[in-house]
Amino acid sequence: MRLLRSTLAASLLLLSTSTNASAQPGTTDDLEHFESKIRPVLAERCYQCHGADPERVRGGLVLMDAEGMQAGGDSGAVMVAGAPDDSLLIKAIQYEGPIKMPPDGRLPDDVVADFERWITAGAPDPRVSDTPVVAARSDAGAEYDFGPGREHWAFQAMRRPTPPPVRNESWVRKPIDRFILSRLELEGLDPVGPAGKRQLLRRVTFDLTGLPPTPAAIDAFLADTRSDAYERVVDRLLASPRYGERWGRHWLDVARYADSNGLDENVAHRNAFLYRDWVIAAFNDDLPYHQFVKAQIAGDLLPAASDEERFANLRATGFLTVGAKVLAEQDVDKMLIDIVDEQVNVVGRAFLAEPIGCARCHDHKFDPIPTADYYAMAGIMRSTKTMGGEDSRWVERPLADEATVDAYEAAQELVEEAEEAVSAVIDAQNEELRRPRREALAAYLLAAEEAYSYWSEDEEANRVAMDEVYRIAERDGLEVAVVAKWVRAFFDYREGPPVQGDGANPSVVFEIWDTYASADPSTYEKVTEDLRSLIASEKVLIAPLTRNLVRGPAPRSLEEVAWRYANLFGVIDIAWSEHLQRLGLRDEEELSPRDFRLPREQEELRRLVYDGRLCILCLPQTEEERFYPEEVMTELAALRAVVEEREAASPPRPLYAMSVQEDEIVDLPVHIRGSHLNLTDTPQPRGFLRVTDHLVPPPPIPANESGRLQLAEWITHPEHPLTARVMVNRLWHWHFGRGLVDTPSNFGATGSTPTHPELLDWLARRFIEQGWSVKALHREILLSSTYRLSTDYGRVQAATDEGNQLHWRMNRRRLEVEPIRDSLLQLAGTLDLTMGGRVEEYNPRGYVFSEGNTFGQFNFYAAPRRSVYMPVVRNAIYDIFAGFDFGNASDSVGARPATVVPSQALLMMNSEFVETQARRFAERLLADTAASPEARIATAFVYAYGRQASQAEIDDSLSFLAEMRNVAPAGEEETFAWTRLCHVILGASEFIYID
Amino acid sequence: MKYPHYQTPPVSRRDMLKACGCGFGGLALSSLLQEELVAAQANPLAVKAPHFAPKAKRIIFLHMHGGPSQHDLFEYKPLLIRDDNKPLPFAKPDVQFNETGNLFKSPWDFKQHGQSGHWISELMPNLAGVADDLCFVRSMYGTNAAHGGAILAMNTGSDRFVRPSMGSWIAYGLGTDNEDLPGFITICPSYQHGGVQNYSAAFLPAAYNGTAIGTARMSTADATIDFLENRAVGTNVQRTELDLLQRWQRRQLAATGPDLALEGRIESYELAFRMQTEAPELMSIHGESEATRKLYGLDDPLTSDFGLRCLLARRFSESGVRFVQATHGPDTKWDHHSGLITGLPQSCAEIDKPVAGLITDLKSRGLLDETLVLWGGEFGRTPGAEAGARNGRDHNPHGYTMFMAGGGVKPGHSHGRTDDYGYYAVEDKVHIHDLHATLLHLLGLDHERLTYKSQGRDFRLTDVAGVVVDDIIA
Repeated sequence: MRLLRSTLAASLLLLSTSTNASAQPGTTDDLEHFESKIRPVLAERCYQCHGADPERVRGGLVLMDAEGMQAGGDSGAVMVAGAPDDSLLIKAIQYEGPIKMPPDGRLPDDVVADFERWITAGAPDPRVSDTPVVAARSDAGAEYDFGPGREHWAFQAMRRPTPPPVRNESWVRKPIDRFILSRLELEGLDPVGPAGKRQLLRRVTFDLTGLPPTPAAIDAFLADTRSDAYERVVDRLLASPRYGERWGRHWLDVARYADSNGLDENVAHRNAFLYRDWVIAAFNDDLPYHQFVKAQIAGDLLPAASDEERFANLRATGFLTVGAKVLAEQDVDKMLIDIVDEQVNVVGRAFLAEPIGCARCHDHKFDPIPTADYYAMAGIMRSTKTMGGEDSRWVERPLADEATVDAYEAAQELVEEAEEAVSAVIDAQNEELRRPRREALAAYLLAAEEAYSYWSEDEEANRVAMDEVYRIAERDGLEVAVVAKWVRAFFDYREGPPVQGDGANPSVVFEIWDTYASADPSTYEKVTEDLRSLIASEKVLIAPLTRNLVRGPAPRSLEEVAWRYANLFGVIDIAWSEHLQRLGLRDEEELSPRDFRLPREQEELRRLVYDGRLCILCLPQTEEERFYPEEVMTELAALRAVVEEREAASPPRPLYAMSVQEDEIVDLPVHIRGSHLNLTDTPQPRGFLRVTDHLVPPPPIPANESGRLQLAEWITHPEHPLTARVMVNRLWHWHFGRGLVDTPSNFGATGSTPTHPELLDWLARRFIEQGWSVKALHREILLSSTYRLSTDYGRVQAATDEGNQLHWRMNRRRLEVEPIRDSLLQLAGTLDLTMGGRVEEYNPRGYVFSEGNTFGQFNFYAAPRRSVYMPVVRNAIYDIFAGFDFGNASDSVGARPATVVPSQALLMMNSEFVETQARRFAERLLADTAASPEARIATAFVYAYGRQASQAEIDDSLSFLAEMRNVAPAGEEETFAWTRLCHVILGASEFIYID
Repeated sequence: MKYPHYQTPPVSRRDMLKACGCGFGGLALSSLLQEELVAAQANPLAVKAPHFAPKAKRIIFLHMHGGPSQHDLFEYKPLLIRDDNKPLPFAKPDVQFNETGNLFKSPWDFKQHGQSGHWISELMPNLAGVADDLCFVRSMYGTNAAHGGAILAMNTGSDRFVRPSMGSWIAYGLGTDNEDLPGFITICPSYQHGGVQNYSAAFLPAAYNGTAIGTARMSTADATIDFLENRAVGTNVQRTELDLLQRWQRRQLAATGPDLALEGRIESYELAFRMQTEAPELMSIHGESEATRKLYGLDDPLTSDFGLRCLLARRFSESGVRFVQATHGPDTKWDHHSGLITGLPQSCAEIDKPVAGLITDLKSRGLLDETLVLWGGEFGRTPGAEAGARNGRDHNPHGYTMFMAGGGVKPGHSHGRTDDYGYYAVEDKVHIHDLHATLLHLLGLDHERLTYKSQGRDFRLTDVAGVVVDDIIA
């Protein structure tokens, strides 16, 4: 708390109570004006949020007294005495500009005028405060005092501690053990005994690969009596490609990786997998951590010895851009600054475990991060281009050299040309076919209406009705298919659900026709009258142009109504072709989005009958082609062959990775209260957190660079007090279930302090000395006696250290959902170990999830690939994942929760997924026909729990099997009973907890 | 569900909190004693005391996805009628979708109803019948004009970050009255416009996630809770399996020594088994009388689907679920950029009777006093016609109408006002943060005290804003 208070004091401007220098005494009249017109309004409308209660003060502004009025708030001074036009207060109450006060409604004009008059008179204010006025300053960066903040442990230099001596030397295997044991000895505690070989193998195998040890691996380890048998296991597991899949997934939590955007517009990140696969490869290749960090922040700016390296670096920058973005935000500036904020946040949390984002709106309340530093870092990201891609809306960059990209694009252009040649022929032919239909529009309308009376919901009966359609069409010299199409269109909108939209909506266009068609011509005078008043009421929607059909004398027959419709469409058709002629165009497709179109009403009618998706006069393309002359069909076939040829000849589309690039370089001003609409005057030069300036000299940022490269250098500087500590702590967390700092993504004042600060520093230094090798760090930890402890309970130790902060035993941990799912698949014998790539294709800008496309349609989760390759769909996380704390993948997660809730039990009890794996597991056991039931039970236990079954468990199982055979469906006794037993084995805690 | 009190706690409080899915939230609640903490963390959904005496015990939120037009339902504006087809007499907001056309008076007739004299259009005849139970907020406003952002803001208070939903906050703040059921249920939610995020607990413990029943495009009769039903075996076999499972789990626990997570898992299986029985019973309406079914319009295909959502909402609510949301969607049902004249009467007809039925039913059961019904969309619509055709209105977050009933709000009351044409909220404006503050207040929770620490700081549903709307509280 001491630290907190001093930090606060440094960042707040305290105004004393005794001076009242700037308050204007004013004349008696002025004061009376204040008392009668100003003070009551302040009291009634302002004090609730700008009063004396510091808990409730908004915007750092206090209007309770003259000093507060003078001091202003976070947005600066609120008034300039004598100059109402320059006073923020007046702008705010006028509701001009971004700040509108009071927020619950504009003050009446006369009150606003009162305030203007008051400020013009010099803002005389007799009020004297009786409480200290405190105002936060968001532009206090320049004079910010880092001194007190730097006292926080995480901002101090890493020490070089010597592993301490211990009494029980024989327990020590690695330097880590000295730090752990000396603390335990200090408390007078002994560690519990070591884990058994089976326990240890299961633990380390899950830890490093996310899969259970196979029975063969267990047997081999038990049989291996060499002194370094365990070391060999660790080396084997670290070398397994399964290692990168397991540890890459840990990092993907931190990187808030997802295959869709989430937030408001859940479109697919179709190329995010390239980043994911890069992460997995980086762990497998033991890419030194400082390079791992640099590539993710500035991969596109790093020198590369080969194309392969360059592409890998581009893929790494996906880190910056896989965050959730508000894509439908119409205010582009707001969208961009929110994206920048997300990036600054994730960089801070992932690499520095520092919640920098808190400083967006105000100086960080607990950590030494002034708003100015936040905007210095934000400037770096704002000078980086994240949005503005072509296929997707975010930037994607080709993983191919220029020549390959050019060749692909050239080939695609040829394909498009060939496709255009095909459509030119089709359009001309269709026009030939459709012109006579348009000319006979009245006849088609009447024929369709006549045939309609035979039509019904019953498709069987409609086959008979088609005879009538034939008869009528033939009689009138019309095309049968077109009449039939029109009849169906009538039927759909008359009998079906109401059609939404007023555009090409048949019920709206033919409302008038329907009304006449259902009435007797003798009543047309009255019908016409009624239609006119209906149109006037607007309660029924009638297409605007068709309203003219009831002008003038009432029609005498339905034929006349048909002719009126035909006439209307004819007029539109003429207007349309004249319009195209004027522009010198052949058809609508040649119109650019900027070209003038027909008035909307005309265009909608035209589309309904002549053109577009609903086009009543059009037949499906294949049907139209039946009427094409033979030589045209020959030509068309040749042209289509060209399209196919060129498509086949085109090189494949190069891969594109989600990435970033340098943008126009800008320095950002501090955004007051985080709002892009409320800026301070001075831009903050791009830069980094200055709290570490005493340890890490900030690399200068050239004027023509964003500063990402320098940011990466700054973060990976060997003396940076956070970077190495944060990563070694993450490793500790993922190995022990709790970090030495148990808030792995928050090393700030609100996070925890390290339980073993010297160990943390020793590990961090060691990490750097060993070339930032993550695998070397694993060995350091895994080979220690500390890691090899059992999870046995110790009453004495628990009395002192109930939470095992001192590591007197190993923590029992629940598996994350990925190893749970992968283990189930492995036991079922179906796990597919193919690495990398997309499990599912998505369209560019395609939505991954909507009501029309739900879990049911999503079969990609059925793929028995490792869980790390399952698509991570934000806002709709795979239900098995969601059930076991996967989180929503929008936030960087350093420590996944391990909750115990009934929905997990429901999932294990009732999900089809678990049921299927249980059955397959049972079938595998039964496949060994020679084995006795006892032997099968023993095998099942080895597979599931890595240990032998006890006699009691075998007995339990045998009697359970017997009971189940009794209730099994006839003929399926064995499969049923064993499936049920496997279901129990997989449902038990022991399967998903590791000792 | 109470846990035995160990003489020496088996593991640290922090570990227990983490292991059992309550996190530090329990600590943020005021004045939890050590004993209560043990109970609270063991079951995060256990009942927790509110900050002060509540006016309501639970909320039913009827969400009209798409943004219903207040001008055609509840906002009677003589000047809009007078100036029909004239240009808007004031500036339009900067951010909007299409060119806003001239003023467009409602094609439907308005009348005043009941003692309260609430103006309600002819499209909502049944709601007009319960006018005196309704408390209108006519001055709602937000800032986001897109569905996704506005719905996220409506549900989570934020349109830019991932934040917990109000239902999750409420479940976190109060727990559930029925331990066999989740604290927050959402009936037929949409996967669009924020999707699951609209009912997710975000950084709050997973137990406070909304439990979804079906999706927006699904027939309500087909909607179920995930994994509730075992399609492979019957209950007897399941129970036999569970008995063996529990014997082994208890044996494991005996061998490991005290371990709250392992113990919690044993308990969670029993709870899950009970939920399997309880929840389907709740979702089956065979015990409801003919009169009740009619009240909700279950006898008419037009109203039966949303009627069932409303009836289920009552059943869950009655059984102790704190926050029930029922969505009427998909968004095209209320998003009348066009198709207003055919579409709006259809959508109104689908919900008018069920909503009125719900209010009437709650009242006759004596539940309305303690149940707050909230009706509304993510924003309203413009008084001007969209893009010239007099058949649609654009999004309008600057002023719109919601109504409430029961649960400690003034019946027959109206709060706030938009301008003379119904575009901007101008008087007694209510921001979404204010609405959230008020909802929490009605439940006995102080929105400034209901906090949860994440990412190094305390978070609230209302961020750094929110003022309780005292005027609507009875």
